[in-house]
Amino acid sequence: MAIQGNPEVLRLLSPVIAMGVNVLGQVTSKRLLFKRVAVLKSEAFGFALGLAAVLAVNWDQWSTCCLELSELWAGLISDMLLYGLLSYCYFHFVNLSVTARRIRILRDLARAGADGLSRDELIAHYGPADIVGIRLGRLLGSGQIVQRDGRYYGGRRFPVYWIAQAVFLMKLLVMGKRSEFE
Amino acid sequence: MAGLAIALGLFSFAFAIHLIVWRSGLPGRQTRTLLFLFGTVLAGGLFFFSVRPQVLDSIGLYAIGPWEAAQAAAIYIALMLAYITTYSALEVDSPSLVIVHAVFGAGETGISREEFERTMSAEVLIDPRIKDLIRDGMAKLENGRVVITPKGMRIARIFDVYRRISAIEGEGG
Repeated sequence: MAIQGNPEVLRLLSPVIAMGVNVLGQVTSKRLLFKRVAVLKSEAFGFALGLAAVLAVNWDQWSTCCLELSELWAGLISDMLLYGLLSYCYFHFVNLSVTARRIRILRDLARAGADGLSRDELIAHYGPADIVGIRLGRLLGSGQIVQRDGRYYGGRRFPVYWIAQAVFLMKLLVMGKRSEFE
Repeated sequence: MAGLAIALGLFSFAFAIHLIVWRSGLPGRQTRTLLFLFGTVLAGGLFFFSVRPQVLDSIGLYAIGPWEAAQAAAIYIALMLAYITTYSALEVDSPSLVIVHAVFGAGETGISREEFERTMSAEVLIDPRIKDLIRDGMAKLENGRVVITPKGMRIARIFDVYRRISAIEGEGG
């Protein structure tokens, strides 16, 4: 089936269309297929659907239009890069909605309305013990750390340990320090 | 591929300026400064390549047309957004990454939960984030209480709606 329209416009829009497929796939699968599991599975599902859309549009362009094979590869690389970058941004948005402290504090403040919350009330809603406990639970659940006799030890290094190393290196490169408290 | 090459070249140039500026002194509003810096390089770069196509000729690329310029802009903007998204992980210390770093660093000794809670206090985990919200205009201090602003309410609603649509359970955080 040929997708009608200006090929150059379609080429430019295909990663955006694929993002739409990604988001729809992620939200729908979270509601219907991955109800009680971490949101990551739905993100992977949505990403795969969007990637299929990118490949489908490029294949359609090549098979129905006048593209050379080299143009197909060039277009595919650009489209997949663009789609990958947009998917990365969406992944972070989803991550913010699930794990970010600022967003959690903001949502607590929104519920409090015009009266706001004192520092003590904020901490009572969402304090250090909650923050540490939630994260230990996630890291234990994914095997990144393990617990033995009440103490925590390193588990699987992939991917969080390597992400931590990369982030610390980037902080040194960009900010000249390893921590916001240095 | 000309669009991709131009986007990568401009992004590398913007990133180099970003490193120089940041090493000279951290700006107050870091994300806003990043958007301004990267946006200026994009606008300047596209303008330059449109009025000086012989520069492209001299480095082995042909002069780009409007669709290739649009492609270069799209890839550059996506790179910029991806970097600024990543930057939030550089700006603040992620508790998860700090925990993983500490646990692996402790080796065979391991770490207890009490040790985490001793070092990861409200002064480290909560106060700086409240300050960030106030600095970014999403909350304000009124009579010793933290109150959400209209801007903060809009942001909170976006995430509330998304969490409801995606049926994400729990309070988050």
